[in-house]
Amino acid sequence: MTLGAQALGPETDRTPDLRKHTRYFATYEAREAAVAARTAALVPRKHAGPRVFWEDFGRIRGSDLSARADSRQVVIGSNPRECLAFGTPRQVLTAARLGLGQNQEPGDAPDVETAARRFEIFDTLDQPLRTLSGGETLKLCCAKAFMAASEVSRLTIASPFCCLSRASTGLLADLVGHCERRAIPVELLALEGEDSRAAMDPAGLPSALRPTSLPFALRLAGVRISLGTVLNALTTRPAVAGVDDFSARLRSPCLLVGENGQGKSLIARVLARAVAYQGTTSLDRGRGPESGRLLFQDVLNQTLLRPFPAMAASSEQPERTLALFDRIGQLCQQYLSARGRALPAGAFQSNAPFRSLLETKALLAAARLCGAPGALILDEPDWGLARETAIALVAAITRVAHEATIAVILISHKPWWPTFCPSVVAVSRTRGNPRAQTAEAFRVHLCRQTEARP
Amino acid sequence: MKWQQRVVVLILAAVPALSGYPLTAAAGEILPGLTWGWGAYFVAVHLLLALTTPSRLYGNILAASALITLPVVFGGAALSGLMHLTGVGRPGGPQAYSPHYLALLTSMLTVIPLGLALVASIPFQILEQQVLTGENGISRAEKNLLMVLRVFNHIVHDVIPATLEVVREEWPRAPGAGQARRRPSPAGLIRMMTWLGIAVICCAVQYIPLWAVEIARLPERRPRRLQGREQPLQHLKPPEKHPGRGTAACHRLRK
Repeated sequence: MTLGAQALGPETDRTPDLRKHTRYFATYEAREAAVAARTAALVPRKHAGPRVFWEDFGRIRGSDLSARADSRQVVIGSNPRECLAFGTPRQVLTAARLGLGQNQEPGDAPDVETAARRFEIFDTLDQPLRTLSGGETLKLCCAKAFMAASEVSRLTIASPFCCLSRASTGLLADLVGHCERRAIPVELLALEGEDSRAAMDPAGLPSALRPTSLPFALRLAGVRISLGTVLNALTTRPAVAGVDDFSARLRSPCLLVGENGQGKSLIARVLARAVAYQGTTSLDRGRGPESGRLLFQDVLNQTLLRPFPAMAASSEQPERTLALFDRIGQLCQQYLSARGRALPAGAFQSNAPFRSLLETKALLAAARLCGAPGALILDEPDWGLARETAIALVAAITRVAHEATIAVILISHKPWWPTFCPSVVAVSRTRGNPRAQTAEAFRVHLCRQTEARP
Repeated sequence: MKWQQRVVVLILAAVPALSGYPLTAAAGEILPGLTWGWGAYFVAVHLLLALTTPSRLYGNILAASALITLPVVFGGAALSGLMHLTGVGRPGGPQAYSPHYLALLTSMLTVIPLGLALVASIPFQILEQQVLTGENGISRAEKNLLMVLRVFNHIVHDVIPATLEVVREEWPRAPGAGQARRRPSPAGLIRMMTWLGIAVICCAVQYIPLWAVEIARLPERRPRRLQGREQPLQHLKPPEKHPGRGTAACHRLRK
């Protein structure tokens, strides 16, 4: 038995195995349709109206929470958190073990802590699910599927390569290998190029999208972030995460990199002031300290389920937002045409109230650029996009932002971006327990990759 | 005091607020709008909370209650005053509406701290963990409890914080987040509150069917008469508590 990614040998040995199971899709919507087909009996049909939702709810509630599900298939959706019905990883894995059935031989089922160690989430077993990063959540889902493998008839994972950092993709191969040995069909539903490890070639961009560079200064001093929710704050002294002081002159587009759970998204939220914190942060592009605006990884939540016209209307300058949105669309089209591809049919042209994920990201970015913030922070902009589409979108947003002298900060695991970004900042954190009732649960450290870490 | 005892005491303390008895019996007024019954109940509830909850928690509860209550009461009273001055309010003027707002202030400052203390007293995650450690399966009532806990935890720990983050990002208050910030119009504010409400409700309920399936997969509790005859599910029993579990040092030791 292997334990963790390091023991699995070179990742390249595993890649062909994963490709054998992978189906590639051109767009997020096509991939989600395939996931929905797999989970048609379970998942409420989103955006289909309240009547359909209550039909689904009533049908499942009719089982009175007592009938075992007919299908034993495991589906890990593109938002892995949605299928986790308990509060902490320990509870999720305990429930998965309980669900194995009473005829299960004890020796067949790994215990909770063994599975957690195997999938590198042992240190997070008692953390609330919300405090897990996207990658840690996917690892938890993999551990849950691993525990249930003896009773699973099929395993489907949507977006398997998106959340896991490069060092952790071996865990996915571990799970797939485990299922293969039990003759369990495995299906990985990925977007085109999602698993590519080739760096993008900035020289290959059309002239309108050639990366320009914009200097800016990033400074964090004495930053402390409360990790608890309002209810936690009522009952206990919430845990606090500290951020080491950091000050550097960088060049946009700047890339924040780091392994799963190192605090990259936390830093993004601090820079955009989306979370409450103490201390000082500033993004300075020569006009004095400013704060940033953020495109969350989960942009679907960020839309607040508003239809497209309502999102555009709620921006500061609706007409300029739509103009920037069109410009981003044109630049994307230019890039894709140069690569012999095309935008999905109707993209940036339709008047539908609910648009594609690509258009949603473009509109949210355009709305933020209108306000001329210190920087636009893109948290995992490649989430839900095929490789070429993601490169087109990021290059287009960067060009439009630089034209307005707005810096761009990217956060991504993908190995595509370092060649695109003149500045790379590594984010890491000390080990610790976010539930600790001490002064600081952990500290996040930033350093330019060219600098030696203290 | 154990949390179970505290919950029982707080539920008992809530009976007068829910039933009205014996508050209505002491209807004599200390001030117009403030009866002896509510006055005494207010004092008794806060005395109880001060005695049964940790001081830090009591302080936080008081602060949260004041934050909720004061805008409602003083905002309402100010609006009534404005309407009276413009001639569209109640004919009696301040004498007519002041008792109402004083009664509202008293009842809100009594009931909200009691409700917050009750919610804060229940360790939801411990309850969830305890249900999952049953050696003879999960009863139907426990499954329903798990579902209630999941929905509550999801709303409190996921939906509300995530929505607050989106709101903070969408309407940055700090200077420099955007040069062209403008105040939202009343219509825009109402529209946005509507979207927020829809988003929170949809996010709160959209995964319930998936959770129902997950919870339904848990094994049914076996009938009591069978429990002694069969081997208990030893492999389902969680490992004993280890004092160093979860720490980095323990992890290294176990490796």
